Amino acid sequence: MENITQSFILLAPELILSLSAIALLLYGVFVKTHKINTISYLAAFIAFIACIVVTSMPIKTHLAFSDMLLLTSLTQYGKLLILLAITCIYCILPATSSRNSFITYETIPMIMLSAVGMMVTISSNSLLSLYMGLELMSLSSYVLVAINRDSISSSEASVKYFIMGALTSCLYLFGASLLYAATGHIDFSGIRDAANSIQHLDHVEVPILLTIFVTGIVLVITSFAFKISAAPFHMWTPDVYQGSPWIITAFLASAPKVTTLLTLSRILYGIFIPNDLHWLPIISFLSAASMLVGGIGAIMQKSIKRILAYSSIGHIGFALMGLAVSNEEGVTAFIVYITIYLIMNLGVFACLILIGGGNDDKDEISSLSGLGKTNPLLAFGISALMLSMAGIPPLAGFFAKLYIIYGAVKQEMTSLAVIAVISSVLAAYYYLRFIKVMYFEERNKSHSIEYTIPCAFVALIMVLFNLLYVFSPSWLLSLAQAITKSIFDI
Amino acid sequence: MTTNFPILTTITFLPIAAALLIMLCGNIRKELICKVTALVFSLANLLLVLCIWKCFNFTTQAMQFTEKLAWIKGYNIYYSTGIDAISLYLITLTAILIPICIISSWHSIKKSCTNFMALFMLLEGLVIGTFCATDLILFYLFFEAVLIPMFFIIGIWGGNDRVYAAFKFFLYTLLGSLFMLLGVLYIYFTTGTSSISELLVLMPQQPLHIQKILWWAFFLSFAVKIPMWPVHTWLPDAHVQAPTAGSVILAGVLLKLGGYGFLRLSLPMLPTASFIYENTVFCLSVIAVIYTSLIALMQKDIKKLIAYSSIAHMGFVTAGIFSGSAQGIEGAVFQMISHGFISAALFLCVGVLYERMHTKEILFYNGLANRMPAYALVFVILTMASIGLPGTSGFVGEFLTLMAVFQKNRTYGFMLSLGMVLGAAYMLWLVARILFGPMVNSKLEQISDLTIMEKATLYPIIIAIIIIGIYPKIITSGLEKPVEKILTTIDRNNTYMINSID
Repeated sequence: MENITQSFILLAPELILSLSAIALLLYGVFVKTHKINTISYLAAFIAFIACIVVTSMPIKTHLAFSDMLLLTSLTQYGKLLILLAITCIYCILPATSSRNSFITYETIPMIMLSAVGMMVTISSNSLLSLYMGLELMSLSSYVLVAINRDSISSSEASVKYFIMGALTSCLYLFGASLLYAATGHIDFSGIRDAANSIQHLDHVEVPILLTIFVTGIVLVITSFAFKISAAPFHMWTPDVYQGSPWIITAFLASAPKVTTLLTLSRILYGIFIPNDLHWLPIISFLSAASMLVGGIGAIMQKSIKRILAYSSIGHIGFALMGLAVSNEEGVTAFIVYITIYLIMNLGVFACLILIGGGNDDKDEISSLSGLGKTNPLLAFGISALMLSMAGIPPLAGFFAKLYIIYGAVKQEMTSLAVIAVISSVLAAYYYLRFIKVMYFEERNKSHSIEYTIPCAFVALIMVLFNLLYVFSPSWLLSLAQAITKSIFDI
Repeated sequence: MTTNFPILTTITFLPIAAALLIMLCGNIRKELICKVTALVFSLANLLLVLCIWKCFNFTTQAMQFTEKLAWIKGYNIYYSTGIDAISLYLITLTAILIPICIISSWHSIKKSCTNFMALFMLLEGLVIGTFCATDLILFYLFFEAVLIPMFFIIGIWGGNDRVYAAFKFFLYTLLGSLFMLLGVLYIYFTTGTSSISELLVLMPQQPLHIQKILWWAFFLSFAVKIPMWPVHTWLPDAHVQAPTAGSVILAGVLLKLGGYGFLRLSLPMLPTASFIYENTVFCLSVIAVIYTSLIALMQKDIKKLIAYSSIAHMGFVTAGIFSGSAQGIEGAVFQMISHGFISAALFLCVGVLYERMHTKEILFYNGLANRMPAYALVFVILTMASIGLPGTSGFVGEFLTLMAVFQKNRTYGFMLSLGMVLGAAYMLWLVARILFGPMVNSKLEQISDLTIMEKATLYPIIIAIIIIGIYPKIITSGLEKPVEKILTTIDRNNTYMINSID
């Protein structure tokens, strides 16, 4: 009994969110006249409360619900990022709802449920709870992508996303069952110990067990590669990004990516670490391929969302490079990278939504033309974020890339570092295109900008973060270092 | 001045603060206020630089006005700055040229003038930051951040092909400098420090094959920036498209970043590799000088001609630096400063014509001396300086460089001298075509001579060129100590290398 209570206390943030989601759903059933904007701000407030709860929890390693969930500083940090992302999304959402009648009431609790799924995923300690979390996260996302029911492209995106997601789940389940078959455990520490002993046993069955285990690893990593849209499993991303409403694209590009990346790092370093050699080439390949695809894919694109999709693929490649480096610097850089990625991404979407008001017709990059004249402040913000994404000093994105490349250089993975350099030059081209369109081209008609203060506030914070990070680059780094220690100490 | 006052941080961040201020003022849409603010701040910065001159000690090898603040904690990377005479001269050059740029674009920049001024102030801060940095990562940060304002300046206020030129400029330079970043990170990883002064001791002890790779990483970056043949192709595009002030600052200051990088990093940090690749650099420099001079001879556009002549002059700089002798290095620095003034003024002169006639075609102009005597005088003096006539600053730099190269290798020396002859050829031919002869083109009949504003920008440069031409000791005397320091570093390290090979 004592244990259960303890577990529930540890899960306070998840509980807050899931109970609020249920309450909101019920409220929606009984009360027909509601204002989406107010509810959205309320949801932002709830998510923010959950943030505070997460930060106020003691940083100590705990196991909860008979070892199904694990709380470490990494999982707490991941939850914090997810909740902050969700808070921002809720702040941005009202800016789009006035133009998009299809943003219905259900969007809000769905995002919330998805966030609960992410938090479970990130703190899971067994193959089963991980699957549960992933499914909760994904199923809610499928609904969100399809929220614009009357649009063909949105439905297409949703079907694509769903089929890919189902395939991913199959791969994951197959891989997980193989891991179970090889080790006889579903909890991470059990698998790790068993994997260790497999390699050290002198037994006739060992080769076959090892084969099964490695196949399991490959399948699980593949399923994650689908989820984080690492090349060559990235095909769905541009379509889904383009088909979804703006706010949902912003959501998809932020929180789920961070969740799956952090979870992947937990799996790689938590379960598979003794089998270093098996997954290292896979991750390196995924990383190199994603960086190149992210760099080349967007060059000819005209749709902003597709460009951002390729940009996120490229960023995923960079983040994976941090994991592939497999030293403490690499993982530290990885954590810093996804934090800065999240911030840049939310900032870009907040700015773009301020311009387009979430109007999906305004997906062409040319719709931004002349913004430097009509709205210099916003154009400045977008330019800063784009240059940051391109990794130009002195913006935050430069430091993110600096740490990652440093990790690779330290591990003497020169080829990966060179690919990173080349792909950032390629990517710089399309980030600069945004600036070109905004400043170097004239505008024929004016932009309709609808400010909602919270959305503008989110944009402002993110831009300021990117600009000012250079003055104090160490706090995020030392935070990430502390978290990395907790991974390597297991 | 008190010793603790962070003067270098001030001259770096004062212009950046001014840029922010101007951008905020820009919303009120009072262009005059913005222009005046920019001018006042840039002059204030010039004043501060002159204060540094007053307190500067030319008789020491050590870095002066050093500052050191913790920056990336736990990573042994500091915000550390300091200057020696080489940096001081280049900072002064920057601080003089920026107000001139601002004055020269007072009337010529029509659209979003406030942003233009803000970007120039930002550029000034970043360039001065690069010259002050004594930490490798900090140096890289400023070095690459310079791209941002220049990209905007070319892209917004440039000519018809400005977008192409801006992208080419940005991506070319970015590719080069990212390889330098890899080099910087590798150096930081092997030595555990990014302080340049510590690295001068540690780096030469690295194995030779590592030094060679690192040398290429740095070389690629600086060679694009300076620019050397065959990675020079971005420069003519950028110059032709950039607005006058943009060309002035590009030729006057930004190209020097590459030379400064060679001098501060490549040469003293990787002396053995520099020694090994000496011939490569000489070869490339000679090709640059002769090839670009020949191209310049055939240009139809005045601005493009001067852009190519810049590449040729930079060939002297690289040859001088890698000659590894006191004369060569002094000559190279001298050449950088002198070229900073001369090319800046030449581009201003092109701007004068372009503003009146809106074309830069050489064939369009003829007999300008008839209508524009003051202009003709200025242009002729500049031409003389550019071809290295004794008594102008152009002579000293090229003479010292040539002497150093002749001592190293006569063939290269001979070829470089040939470049000087070609330089005289294209410049004099240009002058002959546009300034002298009868005025054939009837459109030119109403052309007016220099305005007071234009005189205010051109005359100070002319005076500077002549003063340092007649009395070069102003610069060479200050250069003795820093050059001595570079040479002792090289010698020490080469002895170390020889010993370790034995």
